[in-house]
This record gives sequence, structure tokens and C-alpha cells, in this order.
Amino acid sequence: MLKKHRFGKLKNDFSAYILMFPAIFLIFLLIWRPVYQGFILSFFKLQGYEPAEFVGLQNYKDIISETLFKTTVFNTFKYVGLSLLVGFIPPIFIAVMLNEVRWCKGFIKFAIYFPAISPVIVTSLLWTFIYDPSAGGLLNMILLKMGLPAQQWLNDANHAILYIIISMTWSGFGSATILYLSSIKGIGTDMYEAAYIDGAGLWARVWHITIPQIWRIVLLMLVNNIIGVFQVFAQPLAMTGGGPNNATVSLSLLAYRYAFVYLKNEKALAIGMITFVMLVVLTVFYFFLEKRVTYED
Amino acid sequence: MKKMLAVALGLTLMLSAVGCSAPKENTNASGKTQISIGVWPREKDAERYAQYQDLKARFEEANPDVEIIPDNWSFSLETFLAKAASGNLPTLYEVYFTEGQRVINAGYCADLTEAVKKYGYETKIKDSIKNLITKDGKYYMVPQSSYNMGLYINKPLFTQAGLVNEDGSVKVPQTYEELAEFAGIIKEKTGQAGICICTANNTGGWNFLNVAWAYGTEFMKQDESGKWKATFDSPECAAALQWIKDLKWKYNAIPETSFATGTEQQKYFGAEQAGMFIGTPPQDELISIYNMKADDICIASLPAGPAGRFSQIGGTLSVVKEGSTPEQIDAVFKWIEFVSNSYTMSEDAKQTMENSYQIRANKGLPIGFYQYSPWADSAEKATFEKSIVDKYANIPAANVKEFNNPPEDLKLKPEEPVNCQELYAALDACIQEVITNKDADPAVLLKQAAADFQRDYLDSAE
Amino acid sequence: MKTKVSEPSGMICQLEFKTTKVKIIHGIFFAVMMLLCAICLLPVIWMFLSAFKDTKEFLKIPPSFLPEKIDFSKVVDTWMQNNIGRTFLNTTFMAAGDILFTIVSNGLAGYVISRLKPRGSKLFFMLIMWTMMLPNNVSQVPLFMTFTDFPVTHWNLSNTYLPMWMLAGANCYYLLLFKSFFDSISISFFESAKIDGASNFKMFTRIVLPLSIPIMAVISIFQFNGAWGNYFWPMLLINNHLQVIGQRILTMKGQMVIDRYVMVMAFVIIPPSVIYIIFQRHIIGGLTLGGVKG
Repeated sequence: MLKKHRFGKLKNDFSAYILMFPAIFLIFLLIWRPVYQGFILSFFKLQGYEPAEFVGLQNYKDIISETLFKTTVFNTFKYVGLSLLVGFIPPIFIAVMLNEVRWCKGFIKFAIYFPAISPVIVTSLLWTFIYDPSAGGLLNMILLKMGLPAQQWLNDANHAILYIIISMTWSGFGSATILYLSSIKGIGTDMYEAAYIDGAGLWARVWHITIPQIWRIVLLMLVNNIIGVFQVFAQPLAMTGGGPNNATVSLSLLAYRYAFVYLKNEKALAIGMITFVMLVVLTVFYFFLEKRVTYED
Repeated sequence: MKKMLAVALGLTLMLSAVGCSAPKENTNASGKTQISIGVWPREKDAERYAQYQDLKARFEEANPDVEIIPDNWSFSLETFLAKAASGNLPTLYEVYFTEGQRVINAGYCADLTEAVKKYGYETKIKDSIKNLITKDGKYYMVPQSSYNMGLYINKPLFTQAGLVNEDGSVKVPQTYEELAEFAGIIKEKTGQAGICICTANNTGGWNFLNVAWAYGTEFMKQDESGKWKATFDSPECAAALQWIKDLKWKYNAIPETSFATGTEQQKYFGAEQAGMFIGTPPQDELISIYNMKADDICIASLPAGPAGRFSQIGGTLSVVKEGSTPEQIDAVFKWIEFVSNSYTMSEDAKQTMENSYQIRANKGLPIGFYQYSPWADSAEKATFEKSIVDKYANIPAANVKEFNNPPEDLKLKPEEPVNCQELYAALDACIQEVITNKDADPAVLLKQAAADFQRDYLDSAE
Repeated sequence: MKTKVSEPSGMICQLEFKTTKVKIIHGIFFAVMMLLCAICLLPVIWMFLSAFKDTKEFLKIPPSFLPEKIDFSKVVDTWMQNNIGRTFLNTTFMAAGDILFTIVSNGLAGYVISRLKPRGSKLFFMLIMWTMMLPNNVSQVPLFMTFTDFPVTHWNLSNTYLPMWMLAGANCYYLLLFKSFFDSISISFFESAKIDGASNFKMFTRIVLPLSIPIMAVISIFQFNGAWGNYFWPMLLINNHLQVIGQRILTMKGQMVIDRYVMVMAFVIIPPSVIYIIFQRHIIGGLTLGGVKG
């Protein structure tokens, strides 16, 4: 009886793995194997894509010693930092506000998620019109109408990253808001009512009830946000090409340049691996946070 | 269990499998040598397609042992690597002058030295171009077409700004100083930008080379040991960069954007929002996309600077895919001769050239400027081409007088010999800085750029 | 949008809502929301309007908001000249394959990890969680080699949609979404089927499939949108008549006048917009389906 059961389990396991095979196969082939290969090839000098000569850490040394690489790392962290300020925090408060609004809620939800459905390429190009630094740009047109001076927007090396982040926030804040909103909805009115009866003001209720309740999601979104922005690529590619004066080059864009513009794949791979290591650190941080949050629950 | 084993085996195989694609067939069943020819016109482009199909038929008749396979692919940065890495490049393909060295270094082209010698090109290719197509004394490419950069002048804007001579022809700036002043006048009189200079995606540096040379810049030098030294950290180059800075801050004469490429040049020029740009003929898009009248387009030689007058040579190079057989290379050279891309002028070649101009004329594309020839001793070809250009010209001769009869002092120069794209990228950054930052110091920027360029690229070059 | 006034679910209680101060605060909240709506919709509306301007008007300074005239022949013209119909068809075909791959591959795996839990699946799940954190650019180059010279068989998959399809089948995020969906299905369904002696496969087709229609619908929509904007791999791998819209929108930039280009951009966002308008509630509901469990 016992033997038969064990055999049945084995058979079951086997058929389960058959069902899972497509995913395992594809993930292995398209995610894990390329990462492994990239790691190995990053220690070689390449002729096109073929390894030509083992050079050890030379590719890494070359990359790290480049001034542009330092700028790029700095930029990438600037992207992340600004996205936390501009892109990460507002959706929390927008969700809180939206949850209170009693009119046209359906329409508001529809509208704020609308930017997210158009492809990134179109959005980025659309924003280059918005940011056009001449008097013909959409934003400058508005500024001039209001009697304010026209701005340089993406031409402004100090703030170009901020403007790119704003355009990314435009496409992304809708889905974040809706996630928070559904989580806030789960809180229910009882707790708020009790707080109201105890005399807690609105701000106190947000701070002591809403935020703690959605804290877990906030943390998860935080890490997702960091990891996503860390790989920013399409927006600077389409909007600034990395300029002005390399002020908006990101790690992914630099890797792309090496691979497809300069045809120096070994350097692209080295940048990729360095990005990978940085992200592993962030991932560990993610699991650490998740454990702690789960534990606290 | 067997299945599991098979799966496991499959997985290990995949891990161990590396490149080494099967060799491609290059002769067909009947023993003909097959060559695929890139940049073949698409069927939509009916006239040129018909012309090429006709060429193919006549060529195959004259060379019964060769079969031509049309291939629409033309060079683009994004797709080149995909084609090359997968061995899918056409046997004969074209790249721009600016890509030549990159393609050679990446190893995607066949050694043509033997054929170049056999067909007598070695003595016919201008020395100035040899740098672009050779490495370690071996030929990897042959020039296909070439042109030199000129100054495009928007006649309506010049007229509005009063920059015309008594006979109604436009006043051509003779020095960069004068050009900047003209640009300022255009801005003042018409409100439009005087000139659109390239600033982004490596085209900024590419445009800038002309100016920098005219101001006396030497970008790099090779010492006795063969090592390259970046030498553009110089007062001359700083003066050239200052010229761009003045265009922006003194004359306010360039468009607001700091991300301009050839596309933006055409856009502004075509919409009468820029009076001039530095560009390479033919600029078909001015007419085909922006509906400009050929009468409104003037082309002049680039102005002179303190160190003289320079114009960069550009063009396309014929490249043969790596791994092609000697028979294929030979067939490719026969084709090159047949379609008038060589220095010789057979009757077939003459016919092809005239047909091509006829088709351009029918489409209303700009004709009227003389192309720079990559061939040293090309009197016959040049004379013939000039007669054809004159025959089909649609740009009035007065508009291109300055370009077709360049001043004596004009020196033609190909781009810098090594790491040119990286140099352009470095220069782009400097240019973007001086046009976005009023307080930028050209000398300081160039010092940093030259030092970085030296360390990151020249020192690490093999 | 079922009723004009939504059920109160927030922290402002019914009683409190009567006070002026809270009414003002609510008013401010509402105004902020309306402003956000305008910010979200106006650029898109501006784009649609600008598409109708001619080149000179488009580049005019100061710009106009409304076009001088609406000329529909320009719409037809731009559509035909640039072969948009063909490109849309290609893209739809690619999207259909993406959807098939993502549902079969990720759906099955999500089901197995959630329900069947064979030995070792936990480890696999952990690996997938980690995989989600991998940056895209590490594997660009080797992945490119995989597609142009497929392991063992040496197939060259450029100029086919297979690379994009396979990538869709290796989407860890959707796998996770499926898993958490199956996690939420009541266990009793499975128990009763097990007692009936149904095999894994039978259980999947008879019980799981019908139950999972909502999640499949939502993921199909997301995947469609993803495919519609996909430009990176198509740009690198497809250079014949099979080109899709994402890559074409990039390459067209320098090849046409600006106002016509904007019209093409407008074309591009119409299909996802229509789908969004039709399936709005599914999409917004789907966002919270289990991507992040509260």
C-alpha cells in the first residue's frame, strides 16, 4: 500500500513536471543560460560574438576606469533617487485622496490609468513634443501664456533626468495608484469610524490607520520601483540619446551603445554584469524586507 | 525515465553548444556562383526596381556562370549586428564611410586585396580614401560613391533677410565669422534660426570636424611607435567650439533643441525655420518629404577658417561579406564594374548611370551638383557624369555655382582615422554643453574630453 | 462607474461629510483628481488634434491647439502610404502568438507550482522569484546569439516571431500572477476531483481551465498591450515585411514629415485605447489580481 502510494506520487510528480516543462525550458533557455553565458564571455575579448582571447578582469577594469562609467552610475542612482521622490510617493497620497472622492470615481480611475496603455516609445516621443524647448513646445506654450519664461527642459543638463522621470511617472503612476487604492479599500470603514469617534483628525487617520495597513505593499512597490528604474533605457534612448553632455546616460543605455553602436560586446557584457551585481544587492534587500514584513504580520 | 534522460541530455547539449553554424551554400545546383546584392530597390519603388531587374538580366546574360540574388537590406546601426552575427548579410553590401573602420574591426568583411589588385583599383583609389578601407595594408572595401560636405542655403530665408546680391543670387558666407554674422542677421530679420548644426547621436562631432579643421585643429597624431595621441585639447579646437557657442549665445542663431541630427536639419531647413546647414548632398528628403522647391535650395562650399577651408568626404563603400569564396568576390567585382561603381566607364556603365539620373529626374529629386569622385584618375568618368548632371539638372546652375566650382583653397579630407564614432560622441557632449550652458568654457571641456578619449579609447586600442 | 456617487469606503465618515470643513477638503481632493485627469488625457488629445495640422502649421510658433481644418483624406493617405494596415496585422499576429505562449507556458507552470506542488517545485519557485530581479541587459548579447544561432539545431530565428513568442512564454511575472490566482481558488474543487480519480491533466482541462477564464482574459489583454509596444527584439531581429509597429514607429521618425509622423503615433495608440475602453473594468481589476498580495 505504502509502496503503491509512493509510486503514485512519483508518477504524479512526473506528470506535473511535464506540465511545467514549457516554462522551465523557456526560462532556462532565455533567462538563465544567457546570463551564465554573458558572465563567462565578459572575461574574454570578443571578435563580434566569438570569444577571441581570455583577458580575465580586463573588460571590467577598462569600464570602471572610464569617466563616462562613473557619470553613468551616478546618473543611474540619480534616476532612482528622483523616481522615489517624484514617482514613488505621490501615488500613495493620490490613492488616499481618490479613495475619499465621491464623484466620477470610475472616470478618474479610467483617466489616470490611460497613459499606461500607450507604448513606451510613443509616450517618450510624445513627451519630447511636450518638452520642446522652443516656444512651440506644449509646456512652454502654457508657461508663456501664463506670462512665465520658457524653460529649456531636456536641454538643461542639471534637470534633464528629473524631466525624464516626470514623463515616466506620467505613464506609471496610474497602476501604482490603483494598486494602493485596492489595498486601502480593504481596510473597511469601521476602523476609521472608530477613530473618528475617538476624535482623530483626517491626517491622523491617514498616518495611523491607512499607512500602516498598506505598508507592506508600499515596501514591495518600493523595491519594484528601484529595480525597474535601475534599468531605465527606452526613455533616455528616445528622448535625449543620453545627452546633453551625457547627463542622462543610464547603465542600460551605455551597455546598448557598446553592444550596438561601437560593436564592443565585451564591454557591454561587463556593464551588464556590474548592473546585475548591484541588483543582487537590492534583491537581497528585498527578501530581507519581505521577511521582516511577513514576520511582523 | 528515458524521457527524463533525454531531457537531461538535451539540456547539457544546449549548455555546451557554441557558435559554428553550418557553412552556407554558395553555388547552386547548376554550378553557378550565387551572389546576393544588398540595397536592391523594393518593388514599391517601381522605376528603380525595373532598372535593377533589367541590370540583373543583362548581367546574367553577360556572365552566365553568375546568379544574382536581390536583397533589400541596407545598412542601419540597429540591424547590422543582427545580420552580421547570424551570417545573413548580403554578399555585397554598402556601409557609409563613417562605419568602415568599425565594420573592419568587427571582422564582418572579406579580404579584398587580391581582387583590388587584379582589377587595378589599387592605383586608382585616391590616397585620402585608402585609410578608410584598409587595415594593416589589406583592402577590405572599395569606394562606391562619395560626396563632400557643403553649405546648404535656404534661398527664401536669405532673400527675406536681404542677404542677396544684385542679380538675386544668395550671398555666400566666405568665412565662419561671416557665416555666424549672416546667421545672426537671419534670426534678427526673419525670427528663424540662421543655421541648424548637428548636436546629437554622434552627428554633432561629424559636422564639427569641418569647422574644427578650418580653425586648425589636429584631432590625433600617431607617434613613431604607432600609438595614437589625442591632440584636440588645443586653442584651435577651443576657438572652433567657441564659434558654436557664439552661434547660440551671441547670435542666438540656432534652433532651441540640443538634440539635432540630420533629420532635424532637414526638418528645420525644409520648413523654412533654418537658413543654413552643413550637409552632404543629395539631401533627397528636402524635396521628397518636405516638398521644397529645387529652386529654393542653394549649395555652396563650406566657408574658410583661420587655417583654411575644409570639407569632409563622405559616401558609401562596397563591402563583401566575410567568408565569401574567391569566385563570389570576383563576381561581385564584375557587378561593380557593370553598374558603374568603378573608375572605368564601359558602355554598360554609362547606360546605368544615365538611367539612374533619369529616374531621379522623373521623381523630381535634386540634381545639379557634381559629386566628388573617390577615384584618382577618373577624367572620363567625371566628365561623363558632369554632362549627365547638366543634362538632367533641376537645381538652377546659379544656386550651386559655388559648390560645383569650389574656391581654390578648398581641401577635401576624410574623417579621422581611428575611433571616430567615439570621438564624435565625445565632441557631441562638448557641443551640447556649450549650447546649453552659457558659462561653459570650451578649453576646459576639450581638455577633459581629450583626456577621457585618450584613456578610454586610444590607449585601450589594440 | 455603476452609480454616479460611489459607496463611501474611505476615512471620511458619512456623518462627518456634512461639515463644511470636510466638504471643502473633499472639494480640494476632487479638484486635484480632475487636474490629474487633465494631465493624463490632454497630451494624448493634443496629439490627436495635432495630427491633423499640416507641416507648416505643426511647426508654427506659437502653436495652435486646434487644427485649422480637419482633413480626413490625410488619415487615409498616411495609413495607405506607410502600409500601416499590414504592420498592424503583423503586430496582431505576433501578439496572438505571445498570448498563446504566455498562457500555455506560464499558466501551466503557475498551476503546477500552486496546486500540484511536485517535489522540487518550491526551489523552482524561489529561483523564479530571483529571476524577476535580473536586469534585462545582462543577457542581451547571449540572447541575441541564441536567437540567431539556436542551440543544437543552429536555426536562425531572425525574421520570425518565434523569439518574441518564446520570450513571452518565459514571463516570470505572469507566472506569478497565475500562481497567486490558482492559490485563491477554493481547495474543495480540487479535492472532489481528486476523489473522482482525475489525472493531473484531466483536472487541469476540466476544472482549472474553465475557472481561470478571467485571469486568462486579463493576462491576454496585458500581453497584447505588451506586444503592441514591443520594439527591442523586433528591431534587432526582423528586417523584412514582417516588421511590427513598435520598431516601425522608431525607424519612421526620420523618414516622414513630423505631422504625418504624429498621425502614425495616433494610429498606434488607437487599438490599445479601444481595448482599454471596452475592457476597462477587467484591466483595472486585473492590476490588483495578485501581482501584489495585500
